Amino acid sequence: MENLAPPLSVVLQLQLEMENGHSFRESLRQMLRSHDENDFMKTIREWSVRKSHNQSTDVLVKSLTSPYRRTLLDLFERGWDGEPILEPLQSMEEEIRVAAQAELDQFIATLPFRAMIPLLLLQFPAYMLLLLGPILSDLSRQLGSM
Amino acid sequence: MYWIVSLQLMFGLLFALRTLIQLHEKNLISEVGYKKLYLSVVAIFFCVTDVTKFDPVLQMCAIGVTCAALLSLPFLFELRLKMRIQSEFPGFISKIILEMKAGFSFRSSIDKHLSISSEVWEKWLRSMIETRVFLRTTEDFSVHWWSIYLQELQAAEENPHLALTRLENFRQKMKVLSDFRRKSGQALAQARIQMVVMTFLYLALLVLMMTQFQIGSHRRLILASFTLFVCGQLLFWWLGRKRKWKI
Repeated sequence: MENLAPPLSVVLQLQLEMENGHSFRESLRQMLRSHDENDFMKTIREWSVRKSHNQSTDVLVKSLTSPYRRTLLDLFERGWDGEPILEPLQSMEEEIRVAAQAELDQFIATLPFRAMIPLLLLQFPAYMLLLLGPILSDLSRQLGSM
Repeated sequence: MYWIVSLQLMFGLLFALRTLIQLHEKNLISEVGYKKLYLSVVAIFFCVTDVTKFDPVLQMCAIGVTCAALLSLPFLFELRLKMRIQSEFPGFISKIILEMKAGFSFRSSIDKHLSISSEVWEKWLRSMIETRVFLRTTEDFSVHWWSIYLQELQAAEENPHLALTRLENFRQKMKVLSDFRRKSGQALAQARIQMVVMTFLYLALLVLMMTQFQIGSHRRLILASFTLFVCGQLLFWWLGRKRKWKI
C-alpha cells in the first residue's frame, strides 16, 4: 500500500509550494517535476497538458471515480483561471486527511480476515498433507498388503 | 596449487577492501563499521580456505559467493540510510527551526547542528548539504530518493526571507507522511511476523517428516504440500501489498 493517499500527497505538495509564494501554475509545474509518479499524477499531467492546449478536460474529470480527486481537479480549474485557491485547498486537505485516515483504518481492520484466506485455502491443506499424508499413505499400503 | 589459492585469496581481500572503502567514502558506513566488516570478511576467507582444504575450484566458488554478497552491501546500506533519514529528518528540521526562531540564520543553524555530527546519517547529510545546498551544484538530482529533502533545504537557502515558513510547512507535510507510514507499517508488520512464524513451523514440520518417513516414497506428497505452502505465502504477500487508495 502506498504510504500516502495520492490526493492528499498532491494537496500537501501544492499547498507547500503556494504557501511559499508561488502561483498556482508555477506550483503545479514544480509538483509535476518533483512528485512521485502514480495514477493520479498521470491524470493531473494529462489535465495540465489539455489545459495548456486549451482543450476540454470534462471527460478526463468525469472519468475519475473518486469524488475527492474530481473536486480537486475542479478546484485546479479555478486556480488555472487565476482565482485564489489556497484557502479552499487548505480546507480540502483536512477533508481528504479524514477520508484517508478512515480508509487506512478500514484496511487495518480487515487485514486479519484477508490474511485468513491464504491460511485456510492453501497453508492449512499444506500442513495437513505433510502431517497426515505419509501416515495415511503408509497405512493404506499396509492395509492393501494384508 | 598453493599459488592459485593465494591469488584467489588476495583478489577476494582486495575486492572486499575496495567495496568497503567505497561505502565509507559515500558515508554509508562508519570507520569502525568498515573495519569490523573487513575483519569479518578476512575471517570468512580464511575459514573458507581451511574448510575447502586448498581446493582451488571450491575456494573460487566460496570467494565468488562472498564477493557477490559484498556487491549487495551498497544497496542494503543505502536502504538503511534512507530509513534513518526518514525518521531523523523531521527532528533535524525542528532543531533548525528552533535555532532560526532564536535569531540565527539558516546556514549557521545547519552548521551548528551538523558540525558535531557523529552518526553515519549526520555525516552523510552534512556532506550532501555542503555540496548540493551550499555549493549549489548544477546536477539535477530530482531522480534520487533524497531529492525531496535537499530541494527543500536548497529553496530555503535561496529564499532566506521565506526560509522559516518553508521549513515549517515542510515539517508539517513530513509529519502527516510519517503518521500514515507508521500506521500502515504497523498493520503490515503484524502480517509479516505471522508469515515468518508460519514458515518456521512449516520448515520444522518438513524436517521432522523427512527424518521420520522415507522421502523417496512420499516425494509427490511433500512436493504438493510445499507448492501449496509457497502459493499461500505468495498470496499472503500479494494481499498485503496490492491495495491501492480508493479516495
